Amino acid sequence: MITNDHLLAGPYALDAIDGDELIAFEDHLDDCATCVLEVAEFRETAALLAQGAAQPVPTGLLGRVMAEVRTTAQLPPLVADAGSSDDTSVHEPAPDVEPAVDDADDGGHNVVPFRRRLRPRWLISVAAALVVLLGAVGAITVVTRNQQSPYELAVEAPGRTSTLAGDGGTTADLKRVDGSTDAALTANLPALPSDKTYQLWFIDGGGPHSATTFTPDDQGNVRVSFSQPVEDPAAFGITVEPAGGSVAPTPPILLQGAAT
Amino acid sequence: MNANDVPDGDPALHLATSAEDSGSAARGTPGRPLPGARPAEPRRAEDVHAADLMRRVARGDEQAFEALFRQFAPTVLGIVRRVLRDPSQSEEVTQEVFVEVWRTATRYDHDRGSVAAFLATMAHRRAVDRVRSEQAHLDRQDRVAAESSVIDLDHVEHEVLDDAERQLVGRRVRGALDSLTELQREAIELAYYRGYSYPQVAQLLDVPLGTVKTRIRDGMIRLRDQLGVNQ
Repeated sequence: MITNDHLLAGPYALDAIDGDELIAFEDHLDDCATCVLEVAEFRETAALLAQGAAQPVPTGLLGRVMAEVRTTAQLPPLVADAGSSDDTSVHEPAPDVEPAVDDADDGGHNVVPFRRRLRPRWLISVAAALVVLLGAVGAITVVTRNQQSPYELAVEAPGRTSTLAGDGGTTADLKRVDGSTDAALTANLPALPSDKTYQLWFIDGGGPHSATTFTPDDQGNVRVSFSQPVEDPAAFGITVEPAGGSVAPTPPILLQGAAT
Repeated sequence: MNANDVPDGDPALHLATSAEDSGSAARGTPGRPLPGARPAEPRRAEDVHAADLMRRVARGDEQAFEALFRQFAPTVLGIVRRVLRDPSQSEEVTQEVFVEVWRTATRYDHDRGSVAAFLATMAHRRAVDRVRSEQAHLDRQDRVAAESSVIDLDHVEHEVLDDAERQLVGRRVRGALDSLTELQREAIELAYYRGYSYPQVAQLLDVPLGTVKTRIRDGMIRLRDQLGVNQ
């Protein structure tokens, strides 16, 4: 099940939410590691969209920037230990922040800067926010982005695993994360040439539907995100398709198996 | 919004159309094809380099800051101008962004996101805030669209045609956007490149709010996967 809140990660990362909804989603981010990670990834993606819009910089701008920089003091670094709350150069007080953690100021949140200083707590670090998927179960494991990949996070999150099988005894595990469109695929799939892509399909009464295209890592594993919520598919299948994916699977189906 | 609103792979087309392109003042990187290259690794290497620059900037190194500016100013100005369109306002915002980077470099943490994402986020946010604070949004756009069709020689002088990496990204981004459904692509382009809120996007595309919300997220997931961000 995907709540409406989860769906707002896209618009949020593109600065396309305002008002009460923005506040509500930032509240949601306090508690949802999945969305925090998704927003961070969407921001990296958006940075490429920005790069796609790059344009020549007029002469003179660098000079103006440097002139202003030469008369602008830098914020002192935050010390991870206690006592950072008496940082006098932060021009706004940070009432909502526990001491000893990096509140930074409005420019300092490099993952998800806030439009308004509402609730800096959750992004105190992606690390803390990545406190792994929580859920109703409530087990709390703190991880950092450095230590665990999206794949590993998905593997460890609560969910259901379906086993897919292919010719020659090959198998793959597809672990769907509860309450998310994410899944961890442990498949040991070989790398493909750049004009091909793997594509995951789910099959229900209406036939096969594309779940997503994906590129496995060196170990043949990958975290995939279904492009649409999958309710109760009967089965999953994996094919090789031309780069960009296909609307219908191209035989043969490399791996397939019933959904659990 | 159509497919031409994002830089494509043809520099000649870029130069020929930029003067009359009132629909997209911020046309940027012309993407000269660069066969066989794979952008993922250079991009990561570039990011490591940028993170190193940020560490030096945090220690007050003005030369490193200047290098950072040269690397990212085209992107920052590009996205700001996409949203704001007005050249002088866009330069102002770009200046604000870089001064803010200087001020807050000490707080940047590479583990939380790349320098590119840090800068793009700050730039887009500031541009959007400025747009939304303007009441006469559409009036202003009409006026600016007319003004910005005049090419500033200043801008041409610093053309970044040789930046192969940037061109390559432009091509990949175009390709990834083209892989989206039309609604996904339009919704993302209107939200990101025009700075519209998703309710405004819904209004423009005449589709329900919930549909836009979902399409933007689905499209971003697909872009993320296509562009290899999630690995």
